[in-house]
Amino acid sequence: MKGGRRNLRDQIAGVLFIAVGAAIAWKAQSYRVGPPSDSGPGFFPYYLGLLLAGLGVAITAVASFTQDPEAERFGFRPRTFLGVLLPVVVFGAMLMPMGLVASAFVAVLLSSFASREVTWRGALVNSVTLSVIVLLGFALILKIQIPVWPQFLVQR
Amino acid sequence: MKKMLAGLLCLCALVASGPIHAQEYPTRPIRYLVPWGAGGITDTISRLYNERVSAILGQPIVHEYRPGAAGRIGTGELGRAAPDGYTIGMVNAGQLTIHPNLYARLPYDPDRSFVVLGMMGMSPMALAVPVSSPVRSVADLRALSQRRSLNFGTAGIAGPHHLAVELLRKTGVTGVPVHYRGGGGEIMAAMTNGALDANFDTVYQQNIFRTDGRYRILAVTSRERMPQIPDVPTFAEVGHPEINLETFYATAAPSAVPAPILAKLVAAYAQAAQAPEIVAWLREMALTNVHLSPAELAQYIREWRERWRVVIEEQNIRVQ
Amino acid sequence: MDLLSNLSLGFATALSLQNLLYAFTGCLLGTLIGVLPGLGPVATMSMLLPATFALPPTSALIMLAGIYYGAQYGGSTTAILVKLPGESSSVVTVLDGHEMARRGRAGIALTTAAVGSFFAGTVGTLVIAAFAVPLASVALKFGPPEYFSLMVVGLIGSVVLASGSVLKAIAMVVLGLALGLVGTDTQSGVERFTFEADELVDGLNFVAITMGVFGLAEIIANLEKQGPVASEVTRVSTLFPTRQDWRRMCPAILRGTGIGSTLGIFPGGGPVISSLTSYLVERRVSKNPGEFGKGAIEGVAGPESANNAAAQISFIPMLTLGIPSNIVMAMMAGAMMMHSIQPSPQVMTRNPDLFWGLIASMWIGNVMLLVLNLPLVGIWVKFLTIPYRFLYPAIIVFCCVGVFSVNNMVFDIYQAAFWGVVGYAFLKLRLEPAPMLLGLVLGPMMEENFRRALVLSRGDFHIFVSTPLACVFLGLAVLLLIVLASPALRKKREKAFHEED
Repeated sequence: MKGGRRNLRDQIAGVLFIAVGAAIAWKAQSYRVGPPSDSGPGFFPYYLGLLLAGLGVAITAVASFTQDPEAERFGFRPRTFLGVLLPVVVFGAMLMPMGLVASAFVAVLLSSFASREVTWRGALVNSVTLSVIVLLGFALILKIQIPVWPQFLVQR
Repeated sequence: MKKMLAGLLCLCALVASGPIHAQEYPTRPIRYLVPWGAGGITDTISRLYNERVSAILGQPIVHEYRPGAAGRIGTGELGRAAPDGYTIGMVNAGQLTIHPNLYARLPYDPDRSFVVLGMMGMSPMALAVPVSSPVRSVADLRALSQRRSLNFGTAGIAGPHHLAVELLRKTGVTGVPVHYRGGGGEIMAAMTNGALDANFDTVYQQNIFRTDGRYRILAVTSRERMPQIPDVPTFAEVGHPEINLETFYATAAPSAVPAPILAKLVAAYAQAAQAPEIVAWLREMALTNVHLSPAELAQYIREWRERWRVVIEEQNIRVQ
Repeated sequence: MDLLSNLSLGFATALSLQNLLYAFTGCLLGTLIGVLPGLGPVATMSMLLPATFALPPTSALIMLAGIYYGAQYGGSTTAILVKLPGESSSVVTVLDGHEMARRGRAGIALTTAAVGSFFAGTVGTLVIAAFAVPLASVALKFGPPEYFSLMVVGLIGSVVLASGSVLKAIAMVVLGLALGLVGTDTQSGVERFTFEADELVDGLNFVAITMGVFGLAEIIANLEKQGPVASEVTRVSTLFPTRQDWRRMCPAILRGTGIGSTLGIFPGGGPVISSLTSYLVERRVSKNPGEFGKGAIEGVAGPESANNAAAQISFIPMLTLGIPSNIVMAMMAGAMMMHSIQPSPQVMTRNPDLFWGLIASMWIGNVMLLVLNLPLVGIWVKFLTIPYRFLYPAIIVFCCVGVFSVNNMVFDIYQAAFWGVVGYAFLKLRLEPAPMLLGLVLGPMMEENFRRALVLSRGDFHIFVSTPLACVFLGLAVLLLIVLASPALRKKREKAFHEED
């Protein structure tokens, strides 16, 4: 995207606003909209959705006539993206059945894939250290309400 | 760390020893699910009771807060918990008697998911007007509502504060319910600056603003006069026996809990309810309590649910 | 002298050895947990709250106030260092605070925040002590029309938080408003946009959103950059502000304190609106508005002071009416009720030792915070010298624990991940999340009060101009709109924009 005749970045943003705005306005119609003086639960969402879609149109239009001030590429790297967000999801999935320590261990291990600087050894050291810190800090000192150990070990 | 490992070993040993006999119950800490956030009256009442119950049963009771969706999230979790007596929790009027009439989809079955094992406190409500209002009685309020349209403050749609307003229509007092998210202070401000004409709230809350010289309480929804405000009549006394209502705080267990364990818990909560500090606290908070067996509690809840169903259908209250 | 006797009663209560100890412990714990990345004030408070239940009421509240200050300052610290605002009022601090940190001025930003907070806290305490009674009656005058018009002012102002395109900033505010609609509608009870998930019935989780759009998205962005990012961020020149820094931050602190002490009275949203207003004012009076969003020290000094002064003042509506201005305050109110102290205007007369003790301990808490944190600034900044490859996994895990402990809900962890995806998209599309977050916070209050006002007036729009206070706010909103739309400002913005290239 080398500074073409239009601003692709803003065009995408504009189209997204149109889509989200339209979806909100559409869904809002399943609630009572009503006139302003007797507005129902659908009133604000309906008009906000339309407003958002309208702003999207304006952004897209402006973007067709302007250039992107940054020539920088989008540079999407799935490995980094997944390496940061996947551990969060896995942590959530593991927390209740497997407890805090195991979840933290796995999450840190997974997150190591996000960076190209981390070696296997480093990742393991990192995981162990953080699991211990989390165990000491949250489970033993603060005693927060969180399952610490895997459920199958704790209950009958 | 050593202690932790020792504990872990103990637990492993327990796993090996097979099912625990009910006679020995409880052998480990009990989880108590509060379907609300930490702090406030729900937390206070369960802590007060559980301190006593824990002493009676000889095991700690650990409180866990599961707030969200007016108690429905935590109550759903309680219904799904293992029925081994090691997870119990609080249930309230909303989740068991009101929401089943409003929501087609609930994360629990109000009749089948739980056995309610002890009543901790029941909270009657009081009808109040601002002191600046010329209204002195329920009859005055009815007369005023025939002359102009009144505004009633409520702490959220379909809550007890709101349903009380709808129930009040039976006495000929009509008005528009105006819903506030938090209740309490916001409603008091609106009562004081004249935006609202009247409201229902717990006797305790109303009495605070009455002592402040802001509210005049017209009547209470309890069967008998409340000792905190002995000069205020009940609705029955002023000719409206149909206006009696209360919300409640109770403890329940998942319904499949073994009978001997249930009996132990019922006895423990009943015994705790007799403790002088609990009796004194209930009185201070303008709560009442009577002992009801699990069967009587189930009956009580069914009756209330039916009453609310009638009100909700008659007034065509919908939230979906 | 009422003021003196009240304050001396307060200090007599707060200065007992026991209570001093509680205040100190509270501050220390609040700070230590609050500075962990991902554990904002809300998570910190919900973790530490149950620990105070066993204490006598006055000590419990004093310790809680300490935790509150510690957590808030800890929250500002993570906002500055790792771009993780833990609550709505530090969203504004992130903008320039984190930019300062990126330019190696993290220590100065932290010192500025500490000094500003301390000064504002002191003034706030004095204002409360002197005017508690009249302030409580102002809070009573606040009805739906006033709330509505105040929210309109705030929403219009939020647009200025973005440094890029105005159109995109407006769209982000509107998007935030729309996100605020998720959950149960107060007037009708209808559950909107919840898609049958009970976890969404109370709305989206603010902490999860800020964690996603700021924290997680920022980590992805940092890791995507080539080479060791950490060293770029962490080369710390000095810890202490230079003479020129002081010259720039002092007026900002004064203005911020003034703004916060005034706007803090408005129950509900006082601190957010104050920090926002202060940012607007600083940007307007600054000789080089182009610096804002790129590490202007005024952008930290003003909003942090305003936020702190307002947080102080907002104890008044919380204590006297039980109307909390944010989630953290709501937790304080809940803790009070546990000790059978029902917030009401009578708290001042019925529990004078508690009320004035709390006020005095606020100030003591502020002193402790300064004493505790100025020496610690060096240590916090050192955190940044930890190689990023060790730091980011820790941030991810702490974020998970932090977002979970707000409501003890696993769903919120997934929410954070979802908002991480959204935040990443924002980053790539150059959409700035700050205006959206303001929309999210202020939107529900605006809608609720708009519709409540019309229910009260039976659909008569005159209610919005029926009180002088509401008229003043609406006038302000119009004025702000004119100022924002005026070509002079637009030119200035464009100039600022070009300077960047």
